[in-house]
Amino acid sequence: MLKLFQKELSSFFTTLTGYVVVIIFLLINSLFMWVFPGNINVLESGYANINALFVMAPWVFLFLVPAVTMRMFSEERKTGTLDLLFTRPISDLQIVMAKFLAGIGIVLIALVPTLIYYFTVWLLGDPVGNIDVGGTWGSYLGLVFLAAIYVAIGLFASSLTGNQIVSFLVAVTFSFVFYVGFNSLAEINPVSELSFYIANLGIDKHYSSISRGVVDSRDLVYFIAVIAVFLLTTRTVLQSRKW
Amino acid sequence: MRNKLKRNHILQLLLSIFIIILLGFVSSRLFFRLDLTEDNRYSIHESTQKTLENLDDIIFVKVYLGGDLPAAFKELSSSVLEMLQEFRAYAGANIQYEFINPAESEDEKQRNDIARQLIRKGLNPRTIRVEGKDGYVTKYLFPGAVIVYRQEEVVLNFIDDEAGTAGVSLENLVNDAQSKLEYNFLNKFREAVQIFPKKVGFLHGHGELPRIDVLSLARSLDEMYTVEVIDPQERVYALRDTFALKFDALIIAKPRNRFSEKEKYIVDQYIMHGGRVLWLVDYVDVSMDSLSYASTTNALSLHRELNINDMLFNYGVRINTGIVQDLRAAPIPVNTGAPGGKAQFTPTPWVYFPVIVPTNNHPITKNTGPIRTEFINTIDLVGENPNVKSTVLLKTSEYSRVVSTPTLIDLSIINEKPEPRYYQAGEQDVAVLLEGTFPSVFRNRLVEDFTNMRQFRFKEVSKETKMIVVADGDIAKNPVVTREDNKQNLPLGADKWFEDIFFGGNQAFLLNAINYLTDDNDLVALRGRKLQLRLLDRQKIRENKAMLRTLNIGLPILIILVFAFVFNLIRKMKYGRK
Repeated sequence: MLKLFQKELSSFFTTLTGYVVVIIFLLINSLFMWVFPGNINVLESGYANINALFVMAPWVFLFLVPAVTMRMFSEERKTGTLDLLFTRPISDLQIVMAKFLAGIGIVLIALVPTLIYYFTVWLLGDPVGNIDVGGTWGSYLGLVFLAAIYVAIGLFASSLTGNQIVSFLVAVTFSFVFYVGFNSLAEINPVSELSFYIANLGIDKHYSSISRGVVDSRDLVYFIAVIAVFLLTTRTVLQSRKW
Repeated sequence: MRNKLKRNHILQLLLSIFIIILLGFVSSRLFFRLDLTEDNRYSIHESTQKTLENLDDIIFVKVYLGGDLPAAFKELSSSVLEMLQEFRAYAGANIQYEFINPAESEDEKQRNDIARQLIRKGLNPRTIRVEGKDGYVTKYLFPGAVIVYRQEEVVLNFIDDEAGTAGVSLENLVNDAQSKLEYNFLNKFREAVQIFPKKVGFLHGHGELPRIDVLSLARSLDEMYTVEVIDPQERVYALRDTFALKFDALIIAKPRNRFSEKEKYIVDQYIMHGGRVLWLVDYVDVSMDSLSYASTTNALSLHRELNINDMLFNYGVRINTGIVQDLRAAPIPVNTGAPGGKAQFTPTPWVYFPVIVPTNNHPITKNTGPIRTEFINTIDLVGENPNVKSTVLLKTSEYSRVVSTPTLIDLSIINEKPEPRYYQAGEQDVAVLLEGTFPSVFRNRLVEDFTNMRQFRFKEVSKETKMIVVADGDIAKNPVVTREDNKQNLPLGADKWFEDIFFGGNQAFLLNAINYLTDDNDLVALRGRKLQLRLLDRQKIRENKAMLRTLNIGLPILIILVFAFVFNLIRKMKYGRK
């Protein structure tokens, strides 16, 4: 499984797409945070935090994570290497996990350079270092969990079809529904009890709490549960070849 | 066979999802919260826990945030509920609460009656416009609570209804209210439970700030203490009886006239017997009002006039006569209208009004927010008395300089672009806390006949006590406006000319100082939980904008490119060798 994980990760970075995806991610964030005027521009806001990153990144990831995951099963299915993979002495769940972890790895690699933003704000703070360190790490944790859900959804979408475009679109739609869809649905009738539960299904409610820096075990359970459901479903989709 | 496998796989999936959902439900009951923020702004403080555990009777909280509410107030309402639930975890049945919808009644007359009653009790109504079936409807909300303890009724307004909140968005107000919730509750609980509140006195008789100038501070203190004005008029027992102090703390706010030796003796002996003093003393005599008709005014020094320098020196500080100029400064209005046209006033930073942003982690200054000062002096620690522990509480920004008095204050410098290179004097100490045993300034100065007289109980060395010295008297001064020939005070920290400028730090710092001096440290700790203002250094941004942009766009990408290079190099080495 470790080998497969390494293979997945390095295959991503031997092609140009890997770098393009990561660089686009960084470029969009940098431009919105430091150059384009607007209320999420750090220099304009004057506040010593990098909350802008945690507002921007979920949206950028919404498109880039599916772009990363879309090929993971689809391509292999199309080229036939998937069958080759099945002949290896590893279980279906291990295959799914290896690809999932590789996806997380790519997300982490994309996130590491954003620490530059953190250090910049740290240095610019009045006085130097006037940034909520704990809160920021909490936000990073939340962002990784959010991206992990995207990866799980992307993997699921990728396992469904041999067509990468279809897989990409399905992943973006699902991720979107999970990120804000449930929340918008709940806002139709904000007072009803049902809305409360619908909003709880969405990522946004849990993400907004953890990105304040409050790690609530219920939010963690939510993230892990959604990831688990999608990964298990993906495994079942893979298993369906034997049906 | 295949069908069986399919059935098994799908059953497996459904079973696991079922287990996951089950775990989800269990976790929604059994949970923990880990607050990673540095100021732990989302957890309950131990001093609150202590107060709650020590309750000996039921506190009943009536919250007027029941029923259908707009989103922001719903948020507030659920925060209140969460907080009260948390309280019950410590106080058990001694905390009871009820959420009341004041607009519940169908009958409009009855609704209005209830609203009137609540306003009479002291709840601040807030008007909101909501979209109803037939156009917009105006609704009154009462974001507050009434706390009942035995016969005592105390009103708590979650949202400050003062000038400082003008122009602030509802979301921000609610956000602020949420962060202050615990402090507000604790403060009000104590107010309801306390039978004999401590006493704080404003010293008068030496040209101190008049009543109306400190009204905002006095009102806030009044919620926690009995507040009195005391003019000793040279009576030896003005501040203490033979056996006890009459005041738990004394505020000396911007004296302008001479302290006679007798008055000094009274204050000195008050300190020697354990009294706590908040000195808000500056030696700058300048009239800002004269700047409204002349472009220059004189700044003189009162340092000789006041006659308390030897006293403070003796306790361990010296207030210097120089005035601080600071690039981080509060604004004054400057007419920027076209000549001959309509006057238009723009807030412009005025280097003589330094804004202090507390940075040390002392409870008194923790999270107070920026503090506005006017013509502040600097403070030196002197004497190095081993029995006195001194802590610098407030410092100016590093972009400051000190001008000596007497000097000419010229309004025209406000139009010049401040040159950072002239402001290189670094951080200036402007407020200190002294704790320990102080020597009397009258030691070895009085005749033995007097010191030996038992009834005066002269003490040469103080009991364990503390004092805070701030080199600015205006820090406690609230703006006063004249409306319809009536003088009215604005909240401390508000701006007379610009509604949207507000310095929350003044009030918080002074309340903290008094709470600390009277040993009410739990309030200090809780007030410090206000959302900390984390700002960027605008000076640095202005200087390095282009560099910052290039760095933040370029560097992350550079990191990835280096990563790519190394990654491929390793790969080549690995496979090249084969």
